[in-house]
Amino acid sequence: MGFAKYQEDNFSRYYAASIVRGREHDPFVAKGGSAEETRDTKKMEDKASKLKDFTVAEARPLPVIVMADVSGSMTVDGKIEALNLALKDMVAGFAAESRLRAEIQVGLITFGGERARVHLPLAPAHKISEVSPLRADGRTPMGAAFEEARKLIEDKDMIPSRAYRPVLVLVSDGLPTDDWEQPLDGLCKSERGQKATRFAMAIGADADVEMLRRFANDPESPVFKAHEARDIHRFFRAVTMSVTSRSRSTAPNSSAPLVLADIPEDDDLDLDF
Amino acid sequence: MIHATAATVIGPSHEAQGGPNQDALRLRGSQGGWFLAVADGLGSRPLSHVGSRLAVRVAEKCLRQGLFERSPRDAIQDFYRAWLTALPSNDPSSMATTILAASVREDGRCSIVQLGDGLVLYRAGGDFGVLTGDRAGFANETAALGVTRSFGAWQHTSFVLSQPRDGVMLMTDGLADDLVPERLDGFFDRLIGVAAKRSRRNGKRWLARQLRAWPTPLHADDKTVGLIFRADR
Repeated sequence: MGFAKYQEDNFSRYYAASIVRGREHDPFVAKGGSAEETRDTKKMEDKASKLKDFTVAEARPLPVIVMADVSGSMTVDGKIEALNLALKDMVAGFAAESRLRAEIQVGLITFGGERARVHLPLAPAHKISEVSPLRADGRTPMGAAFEEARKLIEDKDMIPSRAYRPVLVLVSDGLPTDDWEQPLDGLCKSERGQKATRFAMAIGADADVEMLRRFANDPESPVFKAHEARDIHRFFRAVTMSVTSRSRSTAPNSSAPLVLADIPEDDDLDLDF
Repeated sequence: MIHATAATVIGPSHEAQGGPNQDALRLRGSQGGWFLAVADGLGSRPLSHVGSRLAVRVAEKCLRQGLFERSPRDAIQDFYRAWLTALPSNDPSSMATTILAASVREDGRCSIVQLGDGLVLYRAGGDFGVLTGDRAGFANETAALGVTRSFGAWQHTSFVLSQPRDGVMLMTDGLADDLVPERLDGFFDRLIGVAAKRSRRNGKRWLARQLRAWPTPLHADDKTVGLIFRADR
């Protein structure tokens, strides 16, 4: 009797006649199909969870909320154009990195003219196809922006408690023109706002640096002073690196400081494409 | 008759790093009753895996009987002191860990304590309940052994598992944070239902498979779940 015949004989005698507990992995026990096919099916079954109905389908978010000054003074010296470009690059950078350990989400609140408004509702970076360009005009209602940010950060539907600690970024080139102290305290001392990592950038000599210092809370990342348009880009590149390093980290809740590397005037390589 | 099963798996992020599972699990049966403890070492602390392993071991010694024989405050204080004594160094914050423990006697009397995040679900007399309160901050912010001194940070309750499929379920935040809040009772019943039809070892294998194939995208954390329940017959 050959080996194959011997195996068949064993199978018909011992396995086909009764249920053998704890031998589900045994090719003889599995019904139908070849042993290899059964193993593949079993592997697929093992990989598919039976608990999908009870779990959330979205990854844990890492929210980044930018509060951007779009007052009239931002039209001078190409500041608003630089800001638009930097924001676009930041969102693209997040989109490329946003599916590692956490889903990076971006929201943009602007303040200019008479009010603050949500320019870009909080959304996963990889789903943001375009950030419409900001237009600068009018006064600097920064207090209204603080209030808008506080409402967003305290909204547990928008930012669930399973989210990693959010990042707040404030960018301004001037003095607030509305009542800002109370809203700033409201944001910085709110239950969840006080836990956010807050970065700030002062653009030009007219920015209210003292107020921005009160806003920023990361001792390793003091208020960044942008003297020219390209500094805006440097700052947002540092924010992008800080956030993406968190999303790669095994502890995405720990904050990462801004590292403002010197970026030469023309950083691109000389390539023909 | 009271049954139990439990499983723990290392999360993809620690696995990729070659690090240890920072969750710890202890499930022990004796005299028809069961003791279950799960602990989640804080990721930001270098020796939290040591703290979590010691926590579940010391919890068995101090809380298994202690939760029935002493007031919750006294039992917790004894446990906390014993954990601090058992630590290999005098820097408890470097070994900070959450702890969730349940002790169930043969007659169905059950007592539970929790410090820190994770989730405790239970069904007593057919009624479903959640011991854990809402999280105030964001992910991975939690009270923990080695950090928190306040008794007020602990949650505890007692009840009787009187009906078939009554039970208690403890889990770390690797699972808890990804569960849909409105479907917690369905999740509880599903796991008890599956475990009731399997042997403890088989139930453990099934649970471990589910934890490894966890469906939430980008899940990274270590995962631990354990359940003690009254069987159908």
